[in-house]
Amino acid sequence: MTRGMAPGTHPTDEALVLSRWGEGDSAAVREHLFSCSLCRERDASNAAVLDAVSRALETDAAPATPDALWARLAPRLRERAPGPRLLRFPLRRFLPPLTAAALLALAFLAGRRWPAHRPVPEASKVEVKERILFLAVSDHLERSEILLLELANAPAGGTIDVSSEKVRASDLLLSNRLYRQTAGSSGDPMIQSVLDDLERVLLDVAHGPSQLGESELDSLRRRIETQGLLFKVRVLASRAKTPEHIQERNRT
Amino acid sequence: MEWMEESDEAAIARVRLGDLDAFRLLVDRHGRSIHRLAYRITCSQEDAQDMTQEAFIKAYRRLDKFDSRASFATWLRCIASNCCLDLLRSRRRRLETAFSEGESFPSRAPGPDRVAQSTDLSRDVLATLRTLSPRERAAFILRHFEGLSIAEIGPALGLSRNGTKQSIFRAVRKLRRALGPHVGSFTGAPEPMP
Repeated sequence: MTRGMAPGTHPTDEALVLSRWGEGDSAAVREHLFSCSLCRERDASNAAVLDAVSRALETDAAPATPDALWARLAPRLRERAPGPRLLRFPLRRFLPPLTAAALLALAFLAGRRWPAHRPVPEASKVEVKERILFLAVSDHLERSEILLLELANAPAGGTIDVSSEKVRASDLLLSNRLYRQTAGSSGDPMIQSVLDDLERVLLDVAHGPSQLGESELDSLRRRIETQGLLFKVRVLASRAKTPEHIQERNRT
Repeated sequence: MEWMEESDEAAIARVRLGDLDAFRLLVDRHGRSIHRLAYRITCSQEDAQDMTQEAFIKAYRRLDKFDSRASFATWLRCIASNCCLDLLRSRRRRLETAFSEGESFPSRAPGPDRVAQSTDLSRDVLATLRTLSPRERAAFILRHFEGLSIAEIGPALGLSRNGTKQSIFRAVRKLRRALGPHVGSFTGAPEPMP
C-alpha cells in the first residue's frame, strides 16, 4: 500500500533514484512521473548518469578463468584446511588457556585435598603457581614470538598481505587475555606486564587492515621495537621452559 | 558433470567435512560475480583479482560461521566488499599520511572542463568513482550493481540504515555532479505543483 504524494510536492532526487532501484515508495513516484514532465526529465537525467556508470563498469571487467583462480587459491587454502567444526574451534582457540586454567585449578584443589605433612612455606606455594602458569604460557609466548618476528622481518617496500597474520593474532588475542587475567589473579606482575604489552600489538594486528602499506608496517615495527616487546617475549618464553629461574631467584 | 548440479548448501557441508574439492565448486560458481563486484569497487583489474582471491580465502576460513539458512552468494559478496573496503581504506590512509604535512590532497575527479572535453565517458566514470570514499563506493556498487537492498547493505558494511542511505546518495550526488554535464543531466529544480 502506498501513501501517494501530497499535492503540490515533487519527489526528491533520492526518491527518484530509489524508485529506479525498486525501493522506497516507488508506486507513488511512478504515479507522479506519469503526470509531471519536469520530474520525468529529472528522472531521465538520473537514469542517464546511472546508465553511464553501468556501461563503464560492464565493459572492462575480465576475470581470471576459474582454473587460474583455483590455481592461485588452492595452495593458500591447503595451508589452513578447516576440519570438522566441533574439533577445530575449541582445540585451536581454547585448549591452551583452558589447560592453564585447569592446571591452576588442579593445583589449588590438590593443595586443599591433600594437606602437606609439614607446613609448606608461603613462598613455595607461590612458586608452584607461578611455575604452572609459566608452563602453560610457554607455548603461547612461542607462537606470539613467531608472529612478531614475521611482522618485524616482513619485506620492506610496497603493500604486504597480513590476512593470515590477522587470523593468528585474533586467536592469540583470546589466549592472551585469559593468560593475562590468570597472571593478574595469581599475582605475577612480570608476566602480566609482558602480556599486557603483547595484547596491545595483537589487538592492532587483529583489527587492522588485511593489507599493510609501507608506513603502516613501519609504525607496527617501531611499536614492536620501541617497547622491546620481541625481546621481552623471547626472554619470558625461554625462562618459561627452564625451571631453574625460580631456584636461581631463591638462591640470590 | 554431475557435481555441477550440487547446491551451494551441499558443497558447503562437504567443505566443512574437510573436502577441499567441494570448495572449488563454489569458486567456479561464484568467482566471476565476485571478481566483477571487486572490480567495480576497486576500479582496478589487478586489485579485483587479488580481492577475489582474498574473499574466497576468508570465506573458506570463516565457513564455520556461515549460517546455512542464508544465501552463500550474498554472504560472499559481503566478505568481498569488506576486503575491497579494507584495501581502499588502507590506501587512503597512506595517501593521507603522505599528504598530511601541508600538501594538498590530490583529487582525481575530472573537473567540469575536462568532463565537457572528454570523449571517453568510461574513463571519467572510473575517475569519478575513485574520488568516492571507500564506503560510498562499496555501498553504491552493492545497491546499483548487486541489487542488495539498503536494509541488506547496512549490516554487510557495518553501517546503520541512515548511514547506508547517506553513503549511497552522497555517491549518486558526486556522480551526477561530475558526469551530469557529460550525459546531459537535468539541473533545474522542480517548481511547486499548481
